[in-house]
Amino acid sequence: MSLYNLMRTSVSGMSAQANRLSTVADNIANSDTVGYKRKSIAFSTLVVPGTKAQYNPGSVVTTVREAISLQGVLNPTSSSTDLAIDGDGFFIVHDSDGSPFLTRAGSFVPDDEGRLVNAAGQYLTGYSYANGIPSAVANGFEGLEMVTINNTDLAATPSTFGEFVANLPQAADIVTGDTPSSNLATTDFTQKSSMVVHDNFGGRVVLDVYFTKTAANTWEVAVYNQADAAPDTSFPYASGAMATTTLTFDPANGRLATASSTQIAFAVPDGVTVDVDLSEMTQLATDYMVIATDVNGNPPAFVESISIAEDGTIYASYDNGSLQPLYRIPIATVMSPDLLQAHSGNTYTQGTDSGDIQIGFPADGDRGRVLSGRLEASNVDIADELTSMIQSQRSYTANSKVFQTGSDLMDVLVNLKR
Amino acid sequence: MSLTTALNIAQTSLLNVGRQTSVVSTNITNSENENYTRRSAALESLTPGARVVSIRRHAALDLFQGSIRALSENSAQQTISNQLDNLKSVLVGADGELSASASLTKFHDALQVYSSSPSNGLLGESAVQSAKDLVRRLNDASSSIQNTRASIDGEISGTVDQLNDLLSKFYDANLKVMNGTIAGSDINDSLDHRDALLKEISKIVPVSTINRENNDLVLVSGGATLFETTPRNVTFDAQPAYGPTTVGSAVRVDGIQLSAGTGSNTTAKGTLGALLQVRDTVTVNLQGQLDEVARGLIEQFAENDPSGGGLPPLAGLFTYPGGPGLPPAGTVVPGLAQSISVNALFDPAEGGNPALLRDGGANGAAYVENTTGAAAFSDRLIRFGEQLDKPITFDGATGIGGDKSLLSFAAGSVSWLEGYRSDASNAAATKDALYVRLTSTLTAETGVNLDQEMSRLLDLEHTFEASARLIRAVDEMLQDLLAAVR
Repeated sequence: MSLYNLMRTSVSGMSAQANRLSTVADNIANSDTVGYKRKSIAFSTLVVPGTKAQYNPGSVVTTVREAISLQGVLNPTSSSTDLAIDGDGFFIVHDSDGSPFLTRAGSFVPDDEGRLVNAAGQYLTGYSYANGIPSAVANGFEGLEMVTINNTDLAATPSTFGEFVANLPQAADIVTGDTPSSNLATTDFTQKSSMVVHDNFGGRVVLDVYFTKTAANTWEVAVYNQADAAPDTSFPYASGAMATTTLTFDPANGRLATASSTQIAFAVPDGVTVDVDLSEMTQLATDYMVIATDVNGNPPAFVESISIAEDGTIYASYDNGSLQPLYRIPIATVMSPDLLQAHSGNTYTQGTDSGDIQIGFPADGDRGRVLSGRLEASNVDIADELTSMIQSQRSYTANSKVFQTGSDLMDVLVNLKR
Repeated sequence: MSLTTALNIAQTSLLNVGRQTSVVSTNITNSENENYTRRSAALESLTPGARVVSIRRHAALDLFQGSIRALSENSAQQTISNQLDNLKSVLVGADGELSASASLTKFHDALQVYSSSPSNGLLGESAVQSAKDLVRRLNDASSSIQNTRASIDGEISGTVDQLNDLLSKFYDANLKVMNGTIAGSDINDSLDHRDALLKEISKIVPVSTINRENNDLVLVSGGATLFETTPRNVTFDAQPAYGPTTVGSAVRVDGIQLSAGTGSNTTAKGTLGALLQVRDTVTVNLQGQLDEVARGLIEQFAENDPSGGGLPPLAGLFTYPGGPGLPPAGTVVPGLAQSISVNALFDPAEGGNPALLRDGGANGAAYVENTTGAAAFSDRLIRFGEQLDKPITFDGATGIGGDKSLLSFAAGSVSWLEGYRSDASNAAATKDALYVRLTSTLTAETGVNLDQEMSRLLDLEHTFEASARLIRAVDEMLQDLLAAVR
């Protein structure tokens, strides 16, 4: 028991409250910072051993707590590259030196090189689709690269497969003369359709597909290049049929007989071989009716816009209407997010007690999903901060009163001797 | 939950109400737009507390398909009906005064008057004059028919151009829809535009659609592909001019010939099929009927060898470029109505003698029937008059063949056209009614209901007020708190 100890204890109380006021100041200052996590101070006692008869005042020690795992409100924005995580986890960003950080601040915009950079100047990273479908490296940052969505010109994709589904009229007359496979001016056919395929350069090639009933339940299929067609009559084409095949139908149900061919394959000029699936063709007593016609492949195109799916896949949509995945954004989690080491720019690194960083894809397990066009607001509540501030102020004043009392007593003591 | 969260949610609510109001305003703006499909803005929940608006388009796919099918049939039937009205006014006139039948009856009357006093040369002249009127009527009618065919051909050509143009516009619209779908942007306006184009196309040809990935659409007309990734070519070679023997060229969609409709209640769907039907069936039948009238006249007024000496019958009062031999009996000779003429030997205006009609002998002395030169000889004239009432064989290819007298065949031609026209007109009324009915059902389903929109606007106004009130309340609470800090 001593007056000095009393004064020291009150000083520790004042400095603890000042510490708390500092977090309040930081919280209020960052109340509108995207991805900011509220900080607070936890107090604990420090006891100085005394005797039964004598109490030795100790002091108060402070620990900073961060509410990193508490999700803020996800506010809608109008930019598709504004990202937020709904659930647990962090984006992995690189600073300009290439060191990895974790963050939940997803206000990304493309820079002059097409990299997605956030307000703190950090670049979003992801796994590239350049070498096929990526998989996440669970315990390290290997394989992550900066997401760059510029100059990603799409090479034209030649057609390789397709499907054609139609009903051939069962009651059609049998063609007895020349059929399309003979490619003569006198050729007769029952039905015709056409479909577009793409060559190696992405050019469009229109193919004429002829269906000719040659016998009961038997149809000849012939494919020609429309560019070779003679004016008006089409036949004879400048070059012969690209492919022909024969479909036989089961009289029991109007579907293809088991022995029938179920596809037609042909080489596109300047392109590759296309297999067109005909297995769903039917021959029923109704009109010719095309039910589905679809061929893959696409012409060359430029990136029109970027869209980001909830599973973290960044798609580029091209002006020809095709969609290509470019990157997949991973999400990092740790056992104890609140104990991560904070850095400037709302970023975190692994702390001593946070546990190891685990990387995986969004929506896997307890990882959150990625929402495009949304930003996570800070989780600071002004009202909360203001009440903390008032409390701190009162506590600080009380501590100073204790100090003043100690000082007054010392004064009395010093003045005992004149 | 905290005050700040409450403030954030109220702010989001203001944003949502703003977007919902803009949807209501778009709806109201387009309330008179028949190609517009009503939208509604729906709210979805999202953690924690934030709400987003997704805009839905209230399309009714089945009704729309039904309405464009009815539109195809209706536009075909209206085309047939209009063309037949036009043909009737040109070939028959309001009361039949322009028909070949009326001219034939006048000629018949003139012939009877002449036969009652065969010595009167003036009556002979008047009979020949009636014959000339009749021939001119046949010539005029025939060229009107061919002019109509030529103008229909021009119309087909224009319609084909319009169709190609629509298909290329459809390509752009379809691409916009696909890109929008992929990028996840608002494609409702593009969908409206594409549907409007689809309607225009279905007026011209029947269309059925196949949906593909990313809202891509394939258009099929009958069996022919109209649009698949790219528009297909629709080709047509217009004929510069039409004669009775001209065959119009076909319209080809992706190389496949477009079929013409049949029947007065036409099977055609879309204007092209209907125009082809009028050009290749209706007008060809009418021309055939006129040609048969012309052939009947040449045949009935032919000169026979009175002595029974075996000389062949030769063309008399009425002749044609192939005369004096008679055209083959029982079959239509295309273009005869255009080329039939009155023999100049009978025509006083060209120095001819109308008395030949009474006496015979235009083909030489061997064919003179009035060998004595009697001025009162009327047997021949009476016989001609009777022959017009006697049945002869007409070609069935003209639509009204069989054994008929020339007078009743000519009258039958008029009633055939009138019957076709009135049937077409009735069918047009029926199909129009069906189309209007389907369209009004579709509009009721997808159109904008102003009452609904206004009440929605009131709701939104209340939500906005409430949100604004909430913001004020939170603000006041924070004010109180700030006042506590001194």
